[in-house]
Amino acid sequence: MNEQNRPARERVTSVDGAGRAAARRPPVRTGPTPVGEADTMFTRSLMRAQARLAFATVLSFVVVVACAIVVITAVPALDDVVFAGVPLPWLIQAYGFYPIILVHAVAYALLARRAERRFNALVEHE
Amino acid sequence: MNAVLTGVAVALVLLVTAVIGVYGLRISRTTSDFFVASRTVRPLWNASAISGEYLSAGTFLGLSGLVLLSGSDAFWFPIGYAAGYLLVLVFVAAPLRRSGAYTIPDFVHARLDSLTARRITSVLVLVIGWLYVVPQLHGAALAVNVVADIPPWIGAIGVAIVVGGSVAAGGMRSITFVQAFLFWLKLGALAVPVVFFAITFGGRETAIDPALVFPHESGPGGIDLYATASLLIALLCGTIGLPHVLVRFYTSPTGASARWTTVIVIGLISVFYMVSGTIGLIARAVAPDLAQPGVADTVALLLPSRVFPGVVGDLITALVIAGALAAFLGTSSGLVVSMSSVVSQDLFRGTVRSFRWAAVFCTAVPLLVALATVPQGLVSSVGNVFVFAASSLTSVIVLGIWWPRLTARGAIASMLVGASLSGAALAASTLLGPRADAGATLLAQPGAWTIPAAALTAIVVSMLDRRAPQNTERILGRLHRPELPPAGPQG
Repeated sequence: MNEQNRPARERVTSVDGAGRAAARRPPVRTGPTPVGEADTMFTRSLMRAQARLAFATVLSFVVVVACAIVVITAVPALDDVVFAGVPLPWLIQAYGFYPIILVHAVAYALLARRAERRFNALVEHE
Repeated sequence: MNAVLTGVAVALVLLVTAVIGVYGLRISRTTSDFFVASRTVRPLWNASAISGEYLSAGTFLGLSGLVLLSGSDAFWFPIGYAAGYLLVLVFVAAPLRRSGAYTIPDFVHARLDSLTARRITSVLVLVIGWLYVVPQLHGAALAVNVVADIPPWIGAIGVAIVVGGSVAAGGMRSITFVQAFLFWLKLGALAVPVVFFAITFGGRETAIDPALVFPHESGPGGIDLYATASLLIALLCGTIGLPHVLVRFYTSPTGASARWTTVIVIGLISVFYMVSGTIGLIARAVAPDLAQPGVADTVALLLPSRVFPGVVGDLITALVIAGALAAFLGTSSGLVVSMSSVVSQDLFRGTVRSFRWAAVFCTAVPLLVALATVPQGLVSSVGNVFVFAASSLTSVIVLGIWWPRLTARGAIASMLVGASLSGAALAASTLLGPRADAGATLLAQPGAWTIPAAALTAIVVSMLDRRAPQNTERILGRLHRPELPPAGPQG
């Protein structure tokens, strides 16, 4: 690529095109920028809500997975249940964990969206 | 093995990759196109691309091989890889997207306002990337050696040239489309044989003895609790620390769409892992003689021609080879993109030209390492990279997003402690060789103690330091507040 047709360099500073972002958010500067106390409080409460949601999701996931592991490792009778030549514990381990992951992921994404909508409603009322 | 069909399959994959790359070159015109595809990639495309990049040769060939070799223990790897995305989703996906940074070092720099922390992060990103590319090149060497009787180094060099060249030519935009294509190719390349196997074996009553093919000791019953738990912790946390995974979130239009992208990724890779695991289960029934170290990783390539002699088997084998090639190309090119972004922004001034040179440089180093070293088991090599990433970067990224009191010194101490502890444990474990005592297990699966050690270091040092960066509130607000105004229902 030679010097003439090299495209102009463009600097991306924010989300959806610099113009729109700048219209609704103070421009990003270097050095300390004062943030209002109310703003900080709202952000912190949203962070706490999202963090609680994240930890609850992970905790629920760990508990369900631990139960599944106990079932497939500690119940020898399951070995005698055979589908298509494969014992049930093998099948659970090969296929059973992914639906658990997916269900938790969808639930988290929905709840996180709800938390953000609440936050938006709260901020707009201010 | 039909050499002509194999050649045609390889040539087709390379051709399509090149065509998409060139097409991408015509629409990738500015610096932001190069680095983050101008942030316009839709969730399904982006999710396919993330999955395409994530599913490496280690899983494509290694999972079925490990199921055949060591039994159902192998399934913990894909379960951990998929669950890793659950942690990515709940802890980092949306905030990192909103951070607006190009690379992980950018994020660390913005959050902690420290150039030293940035430099250390850059070095760690490079080390993780190189460690990850090496097994990909080893896998490529192994595959060409098995299917075509070509000297191994040709495979490694060939993949390196294609990857380095296409990244340097098209940047990330074309890579996004290439990755998305490669994902569907990988999935198809394993799903088609599985469908054929199902038709073949579904009709007749199974003649195998389940107790012999799927013995209790190799199944879930023979679990080693510490090793399994430590491995799962490392795989779960490691995904957050992988540089090529995070760079993709910067291409989602909003934080909310980054979240839905992650959910789709979990769905896509889960389907892939189920299909890949099925091949492993079939291999245990059909090809127990391949269950030897070194040979087992090639079972996905050898199985079709065993089950279907003649043209059908040759065609399916060619498809699987195309998929394996897609796996090498996908992961390596994703890693090279993220490493090149880091190198070009930290060493040069972040221009397109420096990105191109960085791409060449970042491909050449792991190629030299791959040519100089002997391949280990593919799955476990990749697993070690996860341990290292989880120990060195994950704590800092997660605490940086969620804990306002993290300081630059805390982050630096955490990265150094995590990287040196996990690096030393893995090196010691490799040098000592395979042993069975408790100490050896602690070294071979160090995740359970190195990750908490890194997190604890960050917390303790930050508490003692108390010099929180000045802009913490502003940056945390940017990370966590949803984009305004909400443009209709997102995702």
